Amino acid sequence: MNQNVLIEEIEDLSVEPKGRNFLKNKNVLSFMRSPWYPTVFQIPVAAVFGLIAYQLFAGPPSAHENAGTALMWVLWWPLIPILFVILGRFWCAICPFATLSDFVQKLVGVNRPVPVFLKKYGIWIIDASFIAITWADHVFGIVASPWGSGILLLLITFAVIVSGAFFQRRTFCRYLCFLGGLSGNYARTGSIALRADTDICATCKSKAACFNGTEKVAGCPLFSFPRTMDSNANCNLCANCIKSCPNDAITLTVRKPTQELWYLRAPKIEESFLAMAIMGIVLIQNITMLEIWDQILKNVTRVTGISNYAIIFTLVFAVGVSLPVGLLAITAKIAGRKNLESTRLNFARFGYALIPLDVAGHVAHNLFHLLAEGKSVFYTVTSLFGNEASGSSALVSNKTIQVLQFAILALGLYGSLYSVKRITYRRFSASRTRISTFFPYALLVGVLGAINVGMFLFPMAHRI
Amino acid sequence: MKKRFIVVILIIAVGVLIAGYLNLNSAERDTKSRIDIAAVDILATSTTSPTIGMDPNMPGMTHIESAPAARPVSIVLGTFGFGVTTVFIWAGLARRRDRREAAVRKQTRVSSELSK
Repeated sequence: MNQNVLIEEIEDLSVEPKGRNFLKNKNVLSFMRSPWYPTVFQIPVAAVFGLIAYQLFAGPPSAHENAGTALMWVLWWPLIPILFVILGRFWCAICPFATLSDFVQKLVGVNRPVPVFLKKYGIWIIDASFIAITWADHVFGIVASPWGSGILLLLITFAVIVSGAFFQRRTFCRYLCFLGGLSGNYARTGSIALRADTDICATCKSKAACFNGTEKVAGCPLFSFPRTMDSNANCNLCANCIKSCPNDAITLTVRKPTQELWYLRAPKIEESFLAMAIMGIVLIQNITMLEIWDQILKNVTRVTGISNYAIIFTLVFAVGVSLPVGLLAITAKIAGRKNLESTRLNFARFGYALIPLDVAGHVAHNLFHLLAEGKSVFYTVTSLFGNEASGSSALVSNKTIQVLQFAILALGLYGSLYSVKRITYRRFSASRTRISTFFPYALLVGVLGAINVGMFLFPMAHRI
Repeated sequence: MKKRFIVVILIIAVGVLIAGYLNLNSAERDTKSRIDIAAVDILATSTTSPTIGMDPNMPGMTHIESAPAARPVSIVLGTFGFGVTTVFIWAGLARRRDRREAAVRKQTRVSSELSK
């Protein structure tokens, strides 16, 4: 290798700067240390999900009239990506499945260590399950069918019970939950970070109480060690570490959105793959709700001679999910020729930079359902109490929704471009390498952004 | 902590009972759709809706219109309940075995230390 290149390419190893610490505020600290945090949120959420489960199985068979479907897919599903960006994985702290897992563990928990194959391949299982659930939604019907949604809920509940019964802590949440994988990626773009003050931790004599827990407080449910934690991906803000740390070393700081992506030190290809797969899934979800979808299906039938919908959709789905993955792989190969890092490392490193665009596309897509169908939540829930409300399900006009979608996409585009720049500048110091690395990825962000923008130009069908 | 879990379960149970009562009332009323869909109806453009040249027997078409009687709720919930019970019994037995083995190991260690 050229000696000059070695001398020039000095990676910036500075750590992520910390912002203002919310735990300096006595009220915030006292609330998070309270035994009622996060139970005070878990109880109503569990109650709502109980209602959802009941409605899905025993309520009206039509999605239009089912409060469970409306609450789950028109309210909850669109809101959680927004929550992930604002509050990281906080949803995971109040998730009813996590609560159930803890409960089962208390009752019959065997508390076996997490199997090695889960630690190594868990994220791939998460990738596969996310893809499988989306595929099943289109082929068998989940979102548009209360019965299908109920079956999905039951399957997840069973998996959670098995995990809680046999393994330690929240193994399902950390290594198996498809939503956990999604939230882990999205939380990296979030504005709130829980970290430990390593200077204080260096003098700690409490035998890692933040990780192991104490007699009164459980250890970290997601197997994170605050002292070495440098990512939001596996922190659900449950505050167990805040409660158990005897030295007040835990901080809860505000930071610039996407900042974590710029300072990643150990990029993982499976997490980048998940980010790209989710982008592909969002593209497919978008396109299947457009009027051109029928035309696409007819064209595929004409070309392939296959009329079976399941097969055709599987083909189109495979292409759709592979598209962002393939584009990133090609870009990584091109950039790797110039920056002399392997394609695999380029893919892993810069896949994270596309997470802001990923999140933006996802939020923009679901924003349509939330705002164009939001009143259906009100209608279906109030119908349980005998109120026969009727009217348009839209909260705002389609034009307003479109403007908001484009605004969010613009933010995502900017976030991804800026992240590409920051990651490039941090990793490479030579200007030639920076330019030759930045441009392919910037082009990729542009192409994927243009595809997303193009999708949102067309009117979208409702979910229920 | 145990009390909190019991509270959570009780609240869920009460919620389900209330929902069940309300649902019984709503089932007696006219089930005509109350929602005026402004945009294209999902059933018309749904991925599961048939188009010219498509297989009319494709999966997923009938699930949307299935009547309550066609949904095997008791079978599904019964299977789920059976599965959960099996898991609980299995885990309970495994936990008891682990504790027995841990007690034996502890006894062995104490005995070996005493014999020294």
